[in-house]
Amino acid sequence: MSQESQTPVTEERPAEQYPGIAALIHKKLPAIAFTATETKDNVDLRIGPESLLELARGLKDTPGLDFDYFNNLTAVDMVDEGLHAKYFFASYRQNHSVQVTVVTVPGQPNLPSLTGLYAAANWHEREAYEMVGLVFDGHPDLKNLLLDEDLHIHPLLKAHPLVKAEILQGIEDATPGFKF
Amino acid sequence: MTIWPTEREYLAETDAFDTVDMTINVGPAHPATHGVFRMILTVDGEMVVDCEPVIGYLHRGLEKLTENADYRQAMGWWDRTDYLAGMSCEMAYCMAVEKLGGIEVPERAEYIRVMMAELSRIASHLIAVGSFGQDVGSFGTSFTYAWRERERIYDFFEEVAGDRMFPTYLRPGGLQMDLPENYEPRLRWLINSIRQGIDDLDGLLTGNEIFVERCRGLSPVTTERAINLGLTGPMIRATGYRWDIRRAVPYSVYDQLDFEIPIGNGTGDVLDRYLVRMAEMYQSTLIVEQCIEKLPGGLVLNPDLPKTLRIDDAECYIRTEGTKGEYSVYGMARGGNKPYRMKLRSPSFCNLSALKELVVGHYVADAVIILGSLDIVLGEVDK
Amino acid sequence: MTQPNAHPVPPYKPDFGAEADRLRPIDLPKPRAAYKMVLPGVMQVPADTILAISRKSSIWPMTFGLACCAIEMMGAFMSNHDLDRFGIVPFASPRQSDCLIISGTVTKKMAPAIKLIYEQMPNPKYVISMGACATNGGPYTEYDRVLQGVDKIIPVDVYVPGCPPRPESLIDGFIRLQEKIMEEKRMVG
Repeated sequence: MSQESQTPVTEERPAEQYPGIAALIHKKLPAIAFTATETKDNVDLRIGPESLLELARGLKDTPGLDFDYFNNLTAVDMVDEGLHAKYFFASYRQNHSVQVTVVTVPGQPNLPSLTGLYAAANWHEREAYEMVGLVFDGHPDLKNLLLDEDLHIHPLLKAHPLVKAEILQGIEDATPGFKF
Repeated sequence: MTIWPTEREYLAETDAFDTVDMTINVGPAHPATHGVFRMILTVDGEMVVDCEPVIGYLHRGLEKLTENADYRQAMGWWDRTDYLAGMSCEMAYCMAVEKLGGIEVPERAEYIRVMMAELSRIASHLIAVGSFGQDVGSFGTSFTYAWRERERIYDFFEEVAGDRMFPTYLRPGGLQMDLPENYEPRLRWLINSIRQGIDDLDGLLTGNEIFVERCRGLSPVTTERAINLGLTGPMIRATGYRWDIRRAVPYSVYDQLDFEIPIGNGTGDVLDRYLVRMAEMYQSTLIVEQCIEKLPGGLVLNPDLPKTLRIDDAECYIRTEGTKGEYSVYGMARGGNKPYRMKLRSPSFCNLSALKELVVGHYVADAVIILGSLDIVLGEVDK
Repeated sequence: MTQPNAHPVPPYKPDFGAEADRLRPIDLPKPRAAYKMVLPGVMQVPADTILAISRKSSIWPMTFGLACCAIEMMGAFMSNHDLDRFGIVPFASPRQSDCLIISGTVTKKMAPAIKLIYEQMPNPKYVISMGACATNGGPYTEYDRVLQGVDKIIPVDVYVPGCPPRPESLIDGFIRLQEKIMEEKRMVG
């Protein structure tokens, strides 16, 4: 994905740095720094984990933005660039939507939880936690959702191999059976 | 003469009548309608005090498997997510791949895709309504009525696309093959038969006072709360909010088709959700008829497709109106012939996360009805 | 926005918890047709033949609908491909059913529940593994959360291939199960 410059945003950025909905967001929330790029059908705002809660609160509460619909949370394992959490917010009233990418540093997979703002974020964050290992601070009940409770594996990491579990655990030649 | 204490004095002194909340495990093996889903209910008498849904009993690794397969191969897993409406899921996935790769789809293929997606929507709603009637108490009659029409839709799918449930008829770039030459009379007969089936189900269920009284006023939801919880599809249309992605964010050829969006009476209760689904089935038959009339000629598959699809850096997010709500696909490509990440935002997953709030405060028997009115399919929930 | 990486990242080691203990080998019990009662009848047939005929004509499966195959199984029970004409009536409780139709993918999270249900069923019981996922994991066989076939935990009598198998295939599976029951009449308990 094409990468804009990493310097913090200053006031004198030219207009083409804020394509589409990003211009409106920058106008309503000038204090939050983000890098805006265009995806195939929408606009992606790239921020760090420290601005996520502020940006989400601003998107939800600012009249004119009204992003009241927490649509999706995708956790992507970009191997050397850390874990990316891609939020997708949409608005029913204004009928616009935006994608927010939160870039975390490898080794620090902590993000603030948005369950206080959106009740829909609860299960999405649990799933992101168990799939790639992102930890959401402030989540009421962060435990495995789709996997068994005592498993601490993160299947969607690129380092997790796609192979039958018996081979991973070294018991592939044993006679079949399941003790519970 | 003995002086008996009044009831209030007696209850204040003794704890012999204190009750304890019981934990009931509505386990993963239900009578096979809704799938492998587990609810841990804490009940006080008959009233549900707490409900914890446990999912993951059908987690089959859709997203991990998709990252290790070709763009076209992965479709075999995606249409088994919403296994009641296979071609609807295929449409969302194919649209995501086409948006990533910038592939164009011929217009004839778009109309046929819409036709198949709407027939899948009718098939899915038939099961939703039929099994919902079974949950409320019609001991299999509504289900059998629904299956009669569903088998006829299956026969049509088998004739056109090759398989009943998962034909992988849609491909990135169009369709696998064209409709057979004399499909039209059979499709019109099918539409007529579906309308008759909807009338039969209507007479059986909506005309039944027990059904209506049992469902009316049960678990109402306001629109604001529904938006915050992430409910979509018939759940939010039942609250009175006229939102449909086919109108709000039109995709494919829906902006050229004329159909209404049915909404409920505004309470968002269980009866409204059922009525919205019945009305949506009828609207889908109107859409299919319009597709027959407007169907242009031409190819059904983009002729310039390479043998192996290789897509460079791209990201997209396709929102579609799936049968149960907003079925959206996030796709990321980073070169090569395999997607880097494809995530499914399934409507059943998001609707089900609101179950605790919908069920707490109702009776155990109503908890089953509310779960039936959510219309979940576990392939989507567990991915 | 991106800070230099001050924390070295430890390599990813998946921790499967106690799952390896659950997957340890056990001895599967061998199914036996247990009957010692002999019904006196007026027809001149061996008693065990009558028993086998009555047993095969009234198989009551406990419908274990897991995934997509469950939909085809439901379609087989409905009016179009009627299974009731063979005497096959679905029954929801394991304690009163003869047969267990595993229709759909079996995941490792679901496997203890399936084993419990199989052990709750009284003898004689049969298992039909419907679909590719229950046979050997099916299209999801490479994922480590999917059990590679339900015969890893319970003994299976009939495998019905397909993804999903047509209702006619399921009927064919039941007919083969009926033939198998007729063969069992020579088994001594």
